[in-house]
Amino acid sequence: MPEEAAVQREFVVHEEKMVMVDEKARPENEIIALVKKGDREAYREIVERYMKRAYYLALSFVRNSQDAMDISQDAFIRAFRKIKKFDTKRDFFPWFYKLLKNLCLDHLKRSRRIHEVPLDGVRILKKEQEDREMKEVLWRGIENLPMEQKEVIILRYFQQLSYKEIAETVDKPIGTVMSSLYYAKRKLKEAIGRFLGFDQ
Amino acid sequence: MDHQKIKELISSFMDGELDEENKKLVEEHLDECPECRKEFEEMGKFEEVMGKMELKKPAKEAWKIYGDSVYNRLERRIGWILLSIGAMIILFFGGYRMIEGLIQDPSIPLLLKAGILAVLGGLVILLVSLIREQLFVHKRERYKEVEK
Repeated sequence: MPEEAAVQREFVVHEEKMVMVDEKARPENEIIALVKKGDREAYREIVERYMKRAYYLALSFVRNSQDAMDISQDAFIRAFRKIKKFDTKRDFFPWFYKLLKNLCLDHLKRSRRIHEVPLDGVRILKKEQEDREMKEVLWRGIENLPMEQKEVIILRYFQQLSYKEIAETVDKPIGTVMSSLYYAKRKLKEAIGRFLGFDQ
Repeated sequence: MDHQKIKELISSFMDGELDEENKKLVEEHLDECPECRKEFEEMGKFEEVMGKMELKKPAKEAWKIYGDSVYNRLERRIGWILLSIGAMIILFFGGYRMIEGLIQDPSIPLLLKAGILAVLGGLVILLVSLIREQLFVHKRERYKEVEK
């Protein structure tokens, strides 16, 4: 991986690690227990812990910054309303992810923007103009993947989650995650093959 | 080992998710298989492109107000619920008093009383019908079990 790309990934990973450091400060289930009693201030801690992850996930799905901001906030509001149903023995984020994903899918269905959204949420840093077409093809490719492949691609490349973390988030075995990722990558690789000089 | 299996393992290899045994298996296979070596090189280029993709970051201020925004919206929601309950109580009480006054007022002609009561009765029926329709739609909603 070139140095520039490595630095970008490190930055995102760095943000994730900061989240993990915060998590150590106060156990999540303690906060959730307070939230279940209706403590909205405690919920603010949960929101601040996961807001970036929620926003970037929503952005990966809907690809519009403002919509991603609104949808991720809506997901937190819904999660608060449903928090009594949440099992505190489990991690908050996989549960929250389901709410968020469904809101994103509802949004896409409602707005029918799948083929109309400008690519304002995405960019490739280097050779931006030259890469524009490839970027568009790649994003269309991601959009057209079946949901189980699309979400593993998003969680892997835009959340930098490990296979184990992806499996926990989507509630599927690691083997399924591994093969979904393989088939998704193969399709995307084929889609941009002509830009990279691959034999088709 | 078949090429297909190795190609799947290459994908995990690139992600740093293979155990030592499978890693060795892939490396040994790559030494002797040009087809899988080609797949490995292509996958490397693909990973490079994906590594350069990044999502647009919002302005730093957005994070500062994010938590407040969720908090305020939660608060506003509670406000709306209370407002709706209050409005319903006032409407119900006002309606009851209005009908009571209407029936008891001897100065209003009987025909006008009947007209006003019919309008009110019609509104109630329409309201009940709408509520029933909504409940019926909810019952038949195919995806109502999907968590939203």
